[in-house]
Amino acid sequence: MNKLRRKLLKFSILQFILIFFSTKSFSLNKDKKIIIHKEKKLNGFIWYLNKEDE
Amino acid sequence: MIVENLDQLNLSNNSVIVVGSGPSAIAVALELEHNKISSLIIEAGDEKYNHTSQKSYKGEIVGDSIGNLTHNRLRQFGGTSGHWGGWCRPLEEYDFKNWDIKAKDLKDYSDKTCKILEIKNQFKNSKLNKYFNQIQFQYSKVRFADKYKDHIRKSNKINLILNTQVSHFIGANNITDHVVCFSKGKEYKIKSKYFILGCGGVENSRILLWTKEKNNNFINPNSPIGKYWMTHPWIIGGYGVLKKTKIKEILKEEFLNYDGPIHIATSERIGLEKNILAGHAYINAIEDTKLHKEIIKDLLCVAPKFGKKIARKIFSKDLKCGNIFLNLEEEAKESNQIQLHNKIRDNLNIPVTKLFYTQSRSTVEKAKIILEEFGNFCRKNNLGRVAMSEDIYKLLPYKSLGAAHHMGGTRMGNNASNSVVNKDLMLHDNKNLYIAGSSNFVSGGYSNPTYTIVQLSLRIANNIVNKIKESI
Repeated sequence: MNKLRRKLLKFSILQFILIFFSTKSFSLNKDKKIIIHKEKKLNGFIWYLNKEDE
Repeated sequence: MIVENLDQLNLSNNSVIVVGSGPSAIAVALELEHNKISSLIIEAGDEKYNHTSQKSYKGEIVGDSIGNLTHNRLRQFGGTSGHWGGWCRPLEEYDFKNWDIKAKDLKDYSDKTCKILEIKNQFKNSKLNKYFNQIQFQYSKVRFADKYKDHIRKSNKINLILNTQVSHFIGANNITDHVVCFSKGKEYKIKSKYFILGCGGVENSRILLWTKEKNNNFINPNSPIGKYWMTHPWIIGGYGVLKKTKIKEILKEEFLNYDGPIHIATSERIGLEKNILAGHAYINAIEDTKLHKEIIKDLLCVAPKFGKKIARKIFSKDLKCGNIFLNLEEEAKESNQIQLHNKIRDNLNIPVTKLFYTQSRSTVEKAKIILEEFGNFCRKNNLGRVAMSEDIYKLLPYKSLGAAHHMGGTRMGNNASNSVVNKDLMLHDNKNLYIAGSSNFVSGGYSNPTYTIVQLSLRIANNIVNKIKESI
């Protein structure tokens, strides 16, 4: 019984940590969307693009 | 009135002599007339374009190519305003950093300048970010010859003589006594109390250099006449697409909603932080469907996701798509200078212009920084996408589309060793010879020069009016 309680406690702590950090990192991502710069050359011109444009 | 023959004119009536009949010269004459002071405008060209007369503008350019000295100015009544683009905007306050006058010294002449140019006195700046502003130009349709021909014909204060070439000035002891000119094959020496040389950014230097040659000790032999000559390098920096609505989202009610190209200029801050001179970019100067399609085709290749979104809007008025033209301020280099030609002379035996000109590496470096910063600003804020020409990216010499703005050569300053005129635009060590026009510019900024040329001319006229009033 104790073994089962210990396992459940461990699981809930782990779950808490997972939920806490995933929300935290999500909120960070929402505030600071990382835009990756990409330069691409075509026909003698260099385009200034975002990676997500591709 | 328009004078047919100089013999008709009473040449001792104390008229102010104005050499040239372009925007600078006509602006002075109008302001003098307004103050009941008469003037005589001496124009080398004819009333209309004349091929033979125009050929007198021939000259040689040594160094890098910047077009043709014979054709990028006009030798006729109204001067180069006969084919100018009409874009008007005052210089920015920070452009006057090295001048002996400041923007506020010219502000009083703004209303009159706008009246002459028939434009609104409205030149807004809207801050896009710390480095760029959306700017507003006014477009003048004034051709000085067309607008003022009848006015001058009827005026009893402004006299105009055409087809009369000024050779040089004569003077001694810091006073200019006469202007020497040739009209109908005859030489005239015209006396006056005040002379204004306003023949444009090349001829002003040429006539002063010839004056220096013809007079001993009248002009300081070390005066840097002809030096620090500049133009506005005008180049295609690349191409791109811009969404007007996105610019509007940033600027909100500050957005400048005008027809035609979107004008973006560098701020003072980018100049200070990146150590570059000013620049102005405009996109979509003309609607060109073929070019739009080519640009979008390229965009679909390099950025299919973004390209597809743009392709849907190809004919939308929201989309500004086309070449990115750059009008750049140029470093004032002593070595870029006008000299008298040592071999070729015109029909009056006056040496023609020899212009020594080399591009500055700083110009192309600046073009790269502007396009890079603007390209990054556009992609980060989703305003559009920008492509830079590979030549600029690699800092190779640029191909200029022309050099119609001629500045410097008689630059303003308080030191006679590195400037030609003082802050009143009077020749150093001289009491009555003024120089009008862009040849006085110490720096060119990014704005087209005519607006400032007219302001400076009105200031000269005001100066003369005050002197005449004081002497009465």
